[in-house]
Amino acid sequence: MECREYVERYLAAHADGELDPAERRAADAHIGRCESCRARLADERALKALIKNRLRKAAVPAETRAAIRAALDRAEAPLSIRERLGAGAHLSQLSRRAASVGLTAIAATIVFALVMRGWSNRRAPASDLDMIVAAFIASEQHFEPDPLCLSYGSAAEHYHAARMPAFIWSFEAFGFHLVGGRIGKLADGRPATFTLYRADRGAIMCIRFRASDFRIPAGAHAMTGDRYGYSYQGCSLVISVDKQWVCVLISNLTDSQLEKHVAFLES
Amino acid sequence: MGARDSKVDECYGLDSFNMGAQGGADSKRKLFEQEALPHLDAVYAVALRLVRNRDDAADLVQETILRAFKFFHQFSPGTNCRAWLLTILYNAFRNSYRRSSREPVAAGPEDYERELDKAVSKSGAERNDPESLIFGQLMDEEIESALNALAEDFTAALLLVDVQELSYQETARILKIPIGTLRSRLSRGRAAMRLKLRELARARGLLRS
Repeated sequence: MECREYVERYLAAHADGELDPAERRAADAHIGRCESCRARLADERALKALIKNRLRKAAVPAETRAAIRAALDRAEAPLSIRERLGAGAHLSQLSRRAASVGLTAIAATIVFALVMRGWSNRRAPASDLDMIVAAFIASEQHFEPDPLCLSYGSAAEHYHAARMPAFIWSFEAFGFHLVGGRIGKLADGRPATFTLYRADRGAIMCIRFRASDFRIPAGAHAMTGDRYGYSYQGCSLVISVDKQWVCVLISNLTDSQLEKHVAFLES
Repeated sequence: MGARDSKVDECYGLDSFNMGAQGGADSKRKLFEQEALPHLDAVYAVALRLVRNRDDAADLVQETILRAFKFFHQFSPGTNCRAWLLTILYNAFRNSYRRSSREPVAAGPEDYERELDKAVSKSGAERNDPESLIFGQLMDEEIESALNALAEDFTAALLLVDVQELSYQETARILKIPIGTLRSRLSRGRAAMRLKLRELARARGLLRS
């Protein structure tokens, strides 16, 4: 290897320790023979150190740090309805959307009331149940399944392709037909699958998401194996954790019907 | 699917659907603060060099941190968090800021070739005092100005590899260039920096022409 080639192609990476083994051998061999290039390597390393040590190290100003903390606080807390309604644009957006998805006035009121209760009780133990129930009621009125997830097979395939649990409950034995599924998000950005079933007498929704950071909500009235049963605000829930995934089943069936169905299916 | 989903989520109230029961949400915030906030100064320093003024840098950093928090579930604990944050920073920078038309070029390709020939033609005996001794006598501001005088491509490479000490692979990913291009920019960037530093040293009488 000639000096010119060493300097042009090897020197920088040699000083950075980023040569692959073959290149490294060739470079080491060259500087073993060549005093000038050995000195150049030392210069290159010295220049690196100069740049690293002598450049002004800017520190984040205190007010920027505070602004970032405040922004993180806001990002964590869900927007209250009050906040949304505060901006006129938001209100018209909400009402336009409500009209377009066909929420009746009554249903919308129920959603808002539940959701407000849920948000104002954010720190109360049952608040997560509040929000699940609110979400279920809202989506029960108008659920838009992914066109790719209208059958058991296609939903399973779609969930599997997204590396989500692909097991789809079947409640056909109890008269519930699959409406469809979709992959959406929880408030913290976590992906979740939502699968809806309907019968004349009610609806069941299955929600699945990753179990990290999750703790079983307090207030379960029954526990069978690893399933926790809840009765809350006119809805029943069965929550279980299977390996890395949480599975929430929620329905407006009366007490213990959902649990009975699930117990039957799992027996 | 993405844009429609967030509208749909909002409608269902699902965007307030936080299953971090009993401190789950708190622990996400805590974990994020532990992992990401120690790198805040480094991220700010890089942002400042990208946008060259404090207000814009503060905005860019805030945008970066918020986006990192939102997508924190995509970060694998144990991997280089600083590299991950700087990736987000550079993406945010590319999206929000148009590159300034002012691109000072301290060394074009011809200069580099000439320097290469000159550098290589000197034998060991003819070399003067080691560079490090001479450059070390320059003031911080002079070294700073030498880096700022370089073309943006060179500065970015030196900033990430030499100042932030990221690997070639991490740096190439952040800058969205092949590793070969990065190696070339580092090589030429350092050569250009040397040229600039020599000029400054000569002006101060530290180096005979």
